Amino acid sequence: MSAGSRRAFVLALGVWPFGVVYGVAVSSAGLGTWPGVLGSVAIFAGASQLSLVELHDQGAFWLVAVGTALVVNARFLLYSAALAPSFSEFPTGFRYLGAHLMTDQAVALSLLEYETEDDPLRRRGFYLGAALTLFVMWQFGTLVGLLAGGSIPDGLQLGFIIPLMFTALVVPSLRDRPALTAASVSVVVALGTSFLPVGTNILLGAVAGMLAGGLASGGGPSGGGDIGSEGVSS
Amino acid sequence: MSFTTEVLLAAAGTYLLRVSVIAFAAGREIPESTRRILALVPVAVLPAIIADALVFDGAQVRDFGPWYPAFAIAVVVAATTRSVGWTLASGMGAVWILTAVWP
Repeated sequence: MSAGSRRAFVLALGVWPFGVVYGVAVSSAGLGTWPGVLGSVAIFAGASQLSLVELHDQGAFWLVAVGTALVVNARFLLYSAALAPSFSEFPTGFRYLGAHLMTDQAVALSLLEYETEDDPLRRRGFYLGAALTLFVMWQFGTLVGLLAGGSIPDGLQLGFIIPLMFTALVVPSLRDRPALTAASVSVVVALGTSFLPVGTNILLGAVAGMLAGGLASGGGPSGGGDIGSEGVSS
Repeated sequence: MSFTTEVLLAAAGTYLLRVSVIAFAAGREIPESTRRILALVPVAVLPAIIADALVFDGAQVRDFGPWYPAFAIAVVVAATTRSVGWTLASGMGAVWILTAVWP
């Protein structure tokens, strides 16, 4: 478990200010401390929590507000599929509780780790360590934002942490043709379909990227393509 | 509808998305070809999120400014160091410095 939390710790430091941003958004919309905390514990997915606060604040119909949050989170369906092979070796209780702790960061770190770690017990420990570290930091950031209540200086540009965090996670994985194909197609499709409702373009980009990457890997015998890989340092 | 109710509905839906395939696939054999495609999920999802966050500011296209060169620096640092810490530090450092000196 400690390996996972160690690897997730720096990412969790990046998650913290994002949690503060959410807490401030809830408190400046006057939605109350407890509903804000409930959002972070029960939804536990930053981008969708922010979109829910924004749409509720703008007086959107509840179906639109909730529906948008779910479209933003639709990528979890893909993560669920990606984790399913390793999770099928975990105990039932862990599968159902562990699923709730799923985040972009925990999934990316775990899948990277699982390339070289085959032991189910250590795989489980790694996921739990990474996921819990991120969970705790997110709650902490949320609370600070809710209680501070004021506004965050724009000059800090905390929004920039989001693309940075995901860049740090994805760049080390871009080391073969299928991965590079998936990433490029995903970017082009996500930007090209940005006129669609929020979140939809990301889902379309991801699916198109997976299909393109799958085609690119179909030809060679290496498949996932570890040939030429330099390995990943922690 | 109250914010709390919306939160609970979004939470229930999000949990179903997360648990979906994990619950469905339990005890079934997942073919190697499917596993290969699924291994591509992070490299397909994360670049889409990155591109969207970088290029769009709400519904507007982000004007050329400090974010783009700072992002380029972070990509180089991520590729050479493979370190999350250095990527975050160099990116945030670059964006603050560039913002201070941007004409």
